[in-house]
Amino acid sequence: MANKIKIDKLSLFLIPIGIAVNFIGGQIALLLKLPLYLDAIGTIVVGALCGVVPGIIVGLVSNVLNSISDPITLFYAILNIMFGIAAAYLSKKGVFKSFGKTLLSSLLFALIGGGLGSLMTWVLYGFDFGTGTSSIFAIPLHETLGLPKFLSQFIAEFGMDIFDKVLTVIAAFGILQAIPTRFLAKLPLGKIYIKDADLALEDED
Amino acid sequence: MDSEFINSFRSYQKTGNFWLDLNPITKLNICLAFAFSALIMLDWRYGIPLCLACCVVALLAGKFKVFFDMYGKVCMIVILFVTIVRQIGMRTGNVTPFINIFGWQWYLESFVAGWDRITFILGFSGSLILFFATTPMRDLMYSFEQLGMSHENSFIMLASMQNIIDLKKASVTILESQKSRGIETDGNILVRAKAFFPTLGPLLLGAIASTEEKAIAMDARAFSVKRKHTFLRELAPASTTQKTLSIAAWVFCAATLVFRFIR
Amino acid sequence: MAKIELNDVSYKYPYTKNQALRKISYNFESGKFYGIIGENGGGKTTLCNLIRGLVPHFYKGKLKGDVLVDGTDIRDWNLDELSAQIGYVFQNPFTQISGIKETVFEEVALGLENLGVPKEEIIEKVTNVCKLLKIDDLIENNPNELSGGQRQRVAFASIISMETEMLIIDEPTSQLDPEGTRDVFGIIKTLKESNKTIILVEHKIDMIAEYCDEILVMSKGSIAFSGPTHEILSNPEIMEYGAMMPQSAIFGHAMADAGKPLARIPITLSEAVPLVKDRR
Repeated sequence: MANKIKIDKLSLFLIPIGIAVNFIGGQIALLLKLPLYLDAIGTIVVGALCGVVPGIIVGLVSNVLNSISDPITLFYAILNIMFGIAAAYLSKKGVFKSFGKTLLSSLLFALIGGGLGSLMTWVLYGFDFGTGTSSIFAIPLHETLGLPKFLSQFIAEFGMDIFDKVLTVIAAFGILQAIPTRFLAKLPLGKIYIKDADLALEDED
Repeated sequence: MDSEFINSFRSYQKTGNFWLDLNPITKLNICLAFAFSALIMLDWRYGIPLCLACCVVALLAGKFKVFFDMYGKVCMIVILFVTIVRQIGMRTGNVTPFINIFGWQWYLESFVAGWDRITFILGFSGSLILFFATTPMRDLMYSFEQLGMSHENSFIMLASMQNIIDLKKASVTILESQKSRGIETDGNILVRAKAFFPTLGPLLLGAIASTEEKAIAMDARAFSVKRKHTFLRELAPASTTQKTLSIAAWVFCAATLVFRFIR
Repeated sequence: MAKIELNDVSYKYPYTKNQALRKISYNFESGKFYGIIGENGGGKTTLCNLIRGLVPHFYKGKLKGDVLVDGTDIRDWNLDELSAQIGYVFQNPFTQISGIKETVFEEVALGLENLGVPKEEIIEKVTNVCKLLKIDDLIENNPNELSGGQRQRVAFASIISMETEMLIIDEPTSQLDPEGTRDVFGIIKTLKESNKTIILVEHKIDMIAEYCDEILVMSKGSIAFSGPTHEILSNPEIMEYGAMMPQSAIFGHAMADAGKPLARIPITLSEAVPLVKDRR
């Protein structure tokens, strides 16, 4: 973890919240019986507000904590880390300021989640299908359409992930819009999300 | 005041159980070495004894329930999925009929390959679940801090775990109040997906807003003061015997690697 | 030397229109107990944030004028060091619990651990504070499962154990039930006897009347009134600035209006009783 890299004070305290949000997203999805993970909202919000390093930490620690009850998820930490990096990058480019662009960004996140995810599954499960729900779609794709196993797995995971990530980025967008200005002012990338009317106040006197 | 409780801080924390009282770093070394050995061997004849060994250690440590609550679930899913997937995936070429379940022909080679993979995953998972089931996170963080990790990292880890507990409770409460306010939480998938946002939103914004106060409160507790910390609750440092155990575990892991190459 | 010297201080939070503090000049002396009252949004908490160095270090924004803590300008203080020297307890009992300790005893010890106090000394100090604040029956409990009132007492204990020379207490009872409020009153009384420099922001005016040496009434970012407690709290004008008067003072004024004045306007019940007796 970031021993030598200095994290600013508020980001440090936002990281545990981001990690908890990753878990709660999944928990609420479960309570609402949604067949989705929704477990990267915290990573994306923290990445977007605090930058690359906090984003990476949220992703990494979330998976470490998840691995307590299911250690194999440790290998998928790389996905969550990539989400954090991507979120920080897109945030700097101003992507999360526009709803349309935010929606589009779900494609990138799903590509990371589905692509990297199926690759990881592919290796871990001996070049075969994994134990995730995506196999329910991947196996028929392989069996009935005769697609190669990896391609079936990729299509299934990417297809499921796109729904997941659309909901995820919408949630992240809503949160970024709703955070009060005084709070944004103290975060490394917070300025990006301060409304123009508030920015104008600072230029006076 | 309970002086027995207060006195417990005056000496190293001990439970009297050999496995539980191992230094967390020693335990981590042993468990990691065996976890990787399962990945290296990829053989059910190694994997099954390893999985059983994890269960036995958990039993001896008196933590079998915690351990098996997690491990049992993982076992069930992995065994079921991988067995079936292998039977679907490997049924051509040089295969020997094994059993027939209601007209579904199973083959021996794919069954064995399945179990090699199952124990690959379960050997790895078992070793790590054993570690976490028998090592409190605060003890692990304490040990890392002794090795020079910053207390901020400890804080991130421990505060996250508490936040998860707190926010989980809150999410159930919010969801219930949403229901009573008439927001539909049942119905088709789109309706339920829509209910996701008003549930998560207030929870998250509240949590984010509280971080400012948390930062201020922790500063008042000298959290950011650059000084060497002391520890009220201490664990015994790893003895020479324990260090030897760690090294032995990794030597064993390396040996499995050599074995795998020779074979 | 004054503990804290404010000289013509103005401050504006970032991205806001109005100044949160306007031209404030005041000296806080060592060992005195100060009460800050006045309307919501009048600048009470901002003043606390200023004294602790959170303004401008943490909140950023524009600070004008001189703020001297122990003779050193606030801008030259290291925030991390300063905040460890000024104890701080505030409204929300939930955010003040660290969330990383499993027993109250360890929670109270956290600040001392961070300061590197030797273990035996920690045990002694924590034991004493827990006895002093009467939370000895809670020491083995999980601080994350306590009630709001219990948490607030633990928060006080955690700060008091660090033995800072100065304490800032910002509306400690506003989120507590009557029982929790009574416990906190008890703690404030204990603190009063310790001769620390204390700044208390509180709406419950009877508590202010009982313990404070000096009062500041804040309104719209300025100090509207300041002076000895008796003088300020018996002045009905403070009510025009969102501050309340103690019941006894209201009674005293009502008696005067009715043509039956007491010898002076009382501000506490214990002061009012003999005055009423004398009138007979």
